[in-house]
Amino acid sequence: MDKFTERVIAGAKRLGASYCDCRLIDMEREDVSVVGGAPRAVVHAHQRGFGVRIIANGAWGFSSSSVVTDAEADHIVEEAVEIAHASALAKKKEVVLAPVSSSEDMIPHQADVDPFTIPDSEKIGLLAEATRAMMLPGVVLARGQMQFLKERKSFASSEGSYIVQDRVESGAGVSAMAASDNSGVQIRSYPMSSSGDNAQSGWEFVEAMKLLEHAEPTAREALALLSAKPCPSGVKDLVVGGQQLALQVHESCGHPCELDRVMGMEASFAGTSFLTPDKKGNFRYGSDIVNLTADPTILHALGGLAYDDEGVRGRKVYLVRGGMFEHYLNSRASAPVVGEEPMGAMRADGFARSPIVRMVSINLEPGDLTFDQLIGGVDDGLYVDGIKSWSIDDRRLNFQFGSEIGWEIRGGKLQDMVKNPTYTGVTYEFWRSCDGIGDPGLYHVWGVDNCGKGEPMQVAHVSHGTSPARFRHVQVGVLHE
Amino acid sequence: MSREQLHGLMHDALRASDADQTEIVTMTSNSALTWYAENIIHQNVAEHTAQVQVRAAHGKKVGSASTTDCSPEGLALIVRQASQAARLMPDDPDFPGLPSPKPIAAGLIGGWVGATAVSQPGERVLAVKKVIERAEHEGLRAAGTYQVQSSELAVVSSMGVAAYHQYTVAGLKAVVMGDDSSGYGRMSSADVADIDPEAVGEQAVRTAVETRHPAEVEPGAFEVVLSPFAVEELMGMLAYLALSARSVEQHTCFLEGHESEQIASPIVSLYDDGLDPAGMPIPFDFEGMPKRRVDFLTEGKGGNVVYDSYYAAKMGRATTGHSLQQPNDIGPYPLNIFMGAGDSSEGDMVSHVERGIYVTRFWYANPVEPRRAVVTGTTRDGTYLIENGRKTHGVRNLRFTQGLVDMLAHTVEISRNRAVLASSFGIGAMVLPSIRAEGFQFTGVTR
Repeated sequence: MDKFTERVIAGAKRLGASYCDCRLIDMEREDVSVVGGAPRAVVHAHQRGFGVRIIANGAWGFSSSSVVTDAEADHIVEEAVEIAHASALAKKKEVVLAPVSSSEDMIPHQADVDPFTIPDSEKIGLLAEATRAMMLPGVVLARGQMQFLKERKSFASSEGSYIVQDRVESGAGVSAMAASDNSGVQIRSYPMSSSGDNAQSGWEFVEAMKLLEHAEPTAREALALLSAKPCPSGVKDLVVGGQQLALQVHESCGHPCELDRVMGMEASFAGTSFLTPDKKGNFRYGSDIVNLTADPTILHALGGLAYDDEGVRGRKVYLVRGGMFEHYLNSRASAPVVGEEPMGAMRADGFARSPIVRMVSINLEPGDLTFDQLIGGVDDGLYVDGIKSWSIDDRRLNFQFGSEIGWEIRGGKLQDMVKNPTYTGVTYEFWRSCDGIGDPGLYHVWGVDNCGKGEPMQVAHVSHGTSPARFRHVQVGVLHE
Repeated sequence: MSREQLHGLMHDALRASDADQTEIVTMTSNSALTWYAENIIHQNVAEHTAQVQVRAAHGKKVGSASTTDCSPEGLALIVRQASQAARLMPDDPDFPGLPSPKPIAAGLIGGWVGATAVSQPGERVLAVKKVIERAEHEGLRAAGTYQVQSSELAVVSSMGVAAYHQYTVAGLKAVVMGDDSSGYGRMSSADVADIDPEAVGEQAVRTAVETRHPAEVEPGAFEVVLSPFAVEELMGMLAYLALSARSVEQHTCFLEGHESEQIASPIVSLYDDGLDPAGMPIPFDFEGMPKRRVDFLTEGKGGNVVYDSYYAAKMGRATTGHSLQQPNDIGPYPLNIFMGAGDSSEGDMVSHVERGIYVTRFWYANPVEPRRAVVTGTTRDGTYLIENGRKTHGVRNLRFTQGLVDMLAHTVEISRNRAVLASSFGIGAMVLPSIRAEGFQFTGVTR
């Protein structure tokens, strides 16, 4: 244990805490944004601070600070203990943590080339060239962005754990927006919308994206969408591309499997979950071929981790196996309530926030169909991909998602492109209608760096492994007037 | 830290900069939050953070860096890093230079209440217990948060900008749930003494009780009465999609090309005013530029959007004082949206509806067609059927897919009372009434 975290733990014990953990985090971030060939924003950020979580008098207290000194450590420990005693004023039962073995470990990062050694000029240059290539006539806006993170996190607990984890993340993406007076606005992104694709990798991950090669074809699709026919409306068979399916997995499987949400802890913000404990082990979530895992051990996955922010070693569990709901994402406090073992899903956004149950890498295991076989099995349907719009109710049941692009399927063949494709449904009905999943050759783990949850809001970096998949009898093309 | 201490530190760092132009923005925050659910407190947290952001320019080359280290050494280091970063950057042809100082109405608008800044965790716990006990009395389960925050925002620049504002925020929120219904209550103010836990709890409990055993209604077009909470979700979406210069650049602004045209109902006025003490005022933006009132809709007629110095220069306008921390990819943003008050009450509005829906809250709104501000989401925490001028019973939550401009065009009644709703960004607030609108499109029903 280093001297700082040792001081925190000793101070907490001295003040009567029955449990204490401390996370000391040193983090660098770089965000690069380019619009139409010109740099829009380049931000280098450095954060250093610590957070202290305490159980005293059977209740939780947490405090954090960006001032890393011995005097501040003493002050923050005192405040966390004081808060725990205040919490105890409304206590109905004592906080109980599932036992876990203590660990001493040092986890290296997974990057080959440290992205912070690559000059800004090279990053800007690549994005500038890609966005200039996208500025075809009719394209009104071409954006590119990269984001990098380097973190050292030291975790110490009063149970004897001391774990140092290094982490490097890299991500990038480009998008083109096309507009015309008659056809509105259309957008296409590569490799994914929002901040693009992200991974626990170095600069080699960005280079492998080949942004420049994909820039112009991406812009051409945006332009083509302007004159594409509107998405048809009706109940049709639907093939969902891997990227869009990552969103589907995130919203309709990842979030409802968070045990704190299930137990009502998120009710005042993001809501609750339809996956109540009475359904564990006996609820048909999807068809027989649907297997969904929470797996923090996937190499390079953005949602991967060796240990969570309670010092629990991450391990793979099946959330859904053979279509049946099996396991939750959990914490040391919540797992025993439903008879589970902690599996490493307690994560905090930086030093200043207390950990909550989060996704790690949530994945739909691949099936055995080629892309042609997926499409070939549809007589009258739609193929959609590219995340554009998402909305789901506060129990994670009724969803409506929009994709950047779609194609009609007739007679087992892709036909005309359609714009503004949308589809809607009820989570378990949708997954029960899944009758085909793409093979491992179509599988990709998408890194998502904007998952919001908790109060105050915390943003988590998660990932989703998916192949395209086929769903029967889905309402597509939601009409609104 | 006092204004003098903070500005002293920042000016010392500014003097050490070797860049042509340098700007330092510091935001400090002491915040605490009590988080409760299932009638127990499950998290109780505090955080003490500072963030310093430096923007340095060598000609048209702009670099920036930020840190959480607010010491003299930390500031000196970050100024050097921003300057070094700028030297390595290519020219940004659109960079207009840092803005020159303008008079700021600081000190006149309030926003800081000492009692909020020194409130104790035990006080929050006792307030939360009142909400919990009210819910338990009805056999219901309460969840929510009680947050207090005291913050400083300071901006200095080599152009002579020197701005400082400190403010406080207190906010209590309750979601009260039964087996098949829920209700919502919320209150925010700069002054912790304004927070009334009994009132917040009562509002949430009453809604949860009244909407028990919800019926299912077929989706379709309905006349609606929207509470201020529901209006907030939609106006937040509108701000994101359509009320800034960036939305004009992205062609998602419904105001573009329609200045002075009748776009919305003549009873609808929508504006941003960072100086109005009826909200949570902030006298300047993150470039230290004074806030100006911007009218998006005046009696339904199209108006302007908000600008920062970057977009103002690019589009030949003046900044309206709506910059976020620079540089950013979000663009200028309205943090103090107001909808003009009407002359009605929620009770009056409901009494004027023959058959319609009352919506307490919307949830997870997201754009479907940005250019027409078509948005989808669901209702939440108290959706009622209105029949013959009365809220008769609860209904299952509904999905809506609705054009927001279209909704404002079909708004027929607005309440005189408006709620102050603190922003989740930790700065600013919306001040919004209840509204009655015709032809609101519900496109699905939840289970």
